[in-house]
Amino acid sequence: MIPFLGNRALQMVPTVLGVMILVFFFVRALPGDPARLYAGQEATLDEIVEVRERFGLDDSLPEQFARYVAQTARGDLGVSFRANRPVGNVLLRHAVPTLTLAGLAIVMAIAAGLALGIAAALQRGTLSDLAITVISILGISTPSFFLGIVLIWVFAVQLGVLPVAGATSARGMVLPALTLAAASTGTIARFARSSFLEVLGEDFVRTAKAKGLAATTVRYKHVLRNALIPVVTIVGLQFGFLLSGAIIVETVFSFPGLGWLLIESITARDYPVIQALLLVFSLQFLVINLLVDVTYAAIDPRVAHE
Amino acid sequence: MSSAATARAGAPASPGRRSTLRRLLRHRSGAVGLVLSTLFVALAVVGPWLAPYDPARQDYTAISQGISAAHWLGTDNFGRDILSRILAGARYSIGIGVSATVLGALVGGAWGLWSGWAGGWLDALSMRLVDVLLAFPGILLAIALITLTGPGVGPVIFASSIFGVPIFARVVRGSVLGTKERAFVEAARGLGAPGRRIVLRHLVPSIVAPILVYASLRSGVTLLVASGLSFLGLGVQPPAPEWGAMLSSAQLYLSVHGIMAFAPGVTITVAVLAFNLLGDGLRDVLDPTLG
Repeated sequence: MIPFLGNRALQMVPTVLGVMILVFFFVRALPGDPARLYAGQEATLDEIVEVRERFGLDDSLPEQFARYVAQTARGDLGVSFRANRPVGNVLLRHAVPTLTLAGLAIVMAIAAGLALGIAAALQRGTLSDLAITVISILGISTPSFFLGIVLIWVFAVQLGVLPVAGATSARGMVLPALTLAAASTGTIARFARSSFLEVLGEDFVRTAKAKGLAATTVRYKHVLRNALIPVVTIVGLQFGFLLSGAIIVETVFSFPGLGWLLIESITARDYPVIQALLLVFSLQFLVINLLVDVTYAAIDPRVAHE
Repeated sequence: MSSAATARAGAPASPGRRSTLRRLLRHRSGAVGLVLSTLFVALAVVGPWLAPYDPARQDYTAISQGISAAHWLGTDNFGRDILSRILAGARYSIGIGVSATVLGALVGGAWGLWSGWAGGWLDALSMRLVDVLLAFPGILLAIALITLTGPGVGPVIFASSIFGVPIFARVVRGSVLGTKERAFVEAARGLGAPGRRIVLRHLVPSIVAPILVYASLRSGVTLLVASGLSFLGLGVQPPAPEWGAMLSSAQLYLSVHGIMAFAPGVTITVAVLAFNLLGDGLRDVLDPTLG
């Protein structure tokens, strides 16, 4: 298990370096002089020269990149133009709402997705199976920005029971979390359904039934455990998508998380923050993929031995 | 005479194609998806001509009207006919979604074909690059690109095609690697067929099915990302009647004029649904093992 984990983490190194190269060149590819961008729009010539020296923008690209990697490794992500504070501080403040929101959404999506998927598989071919299938594909197909607006219209405008937007209170989280959870619920439900149907047709299930075990025992001890293994993968991947899906959902609800911060920073041309967010969003994606692999290996030891 | 010869020459290919279509039409949800997405693509072509009003004409005597015989979907806050804007906007929304998918499939397909054919360290290096690109969540890559290029129709097509590229590259490479080992390719190589001929005659046909399935599966997601970019204000800019941009403007009037949001929102949803159903159907019919 430990060598497997170490091996997978090592395999990530070139990918992480590649991501950093792309993010590094992203800022250099921006139209205009990076020193001017860093110094801000009202900077004088002296200030621009000073920025050029301070950031070493006259050095060769490999030198600049090495410095970028070293600074990032120390947790130094630069200074936000807009907030005039270290980018790390700004990110931390917005990370908590996003993680809370995504955490809430993934719990909702797992609970609802599994329940729907299992119910559909057990009642295969019936009207409720069809209904669940339709709900799942609708959840996947509805754009989050439209679903968010529909939920605002129903619960905030028509019923007036929940706040429209901008709140990080528990009540303010309900609608954004529901919106964020919808697509993942659909995906998990579809995946759980097919995984269950597959396991239900396995020989060992037939054997368990044949030796006279109660239907519920077979269902929960034999089917559930085996059918959940592939579902773990999809749940992990969904969590990665949820964090990036938050970009749109947070904008709809003016929810002050990382996604909202990204769009605000683009509007304000706050490049150090944009650069850091690109890195953070892709690294979290990689880390989650790693965690999925590890969890998978923990559930199914065959994977670690391959 | 020549037309009869052509018909006969084309004959071996057509039964396969016809049976794919027939099987897709027998696949209930796949058939619905096929019909609906064909309608949407047709709408992208003829939509602007079907519009009963000029989608850009502002009528200050008919602002924010509800559903009526004159305006089937009402009018927006500038008195523009919403139905006309949706019909005309298909050219933007569907046009962008489809062309971005096709672009992503072509570039990614060529990449995967080349990588799988080249093999060795070139292949290993190029698949590392695919991993790097896949590390960026799709919408993030699109947003980063738009930050570089600025908003507009071209940038949105480019930005929403780019995140499909590594996916197509990986899928196509996989199927090239599989085909490369097959006996008929070995035989062609043994007979001294030049590399170009093997690629064109043997490898390209083998990647058509996975590309088709993935392209239809991806087009729903691409449509979501492209209209999402416009919704965020990073894509097609108002007053262009792109559906995501229309939805974004409608947000301000949500409490007083819901139809302004519901019309484009439902349209995007049905369009994405259509492409998703088509993709699922094609996958079931052509290759159930594909994701």
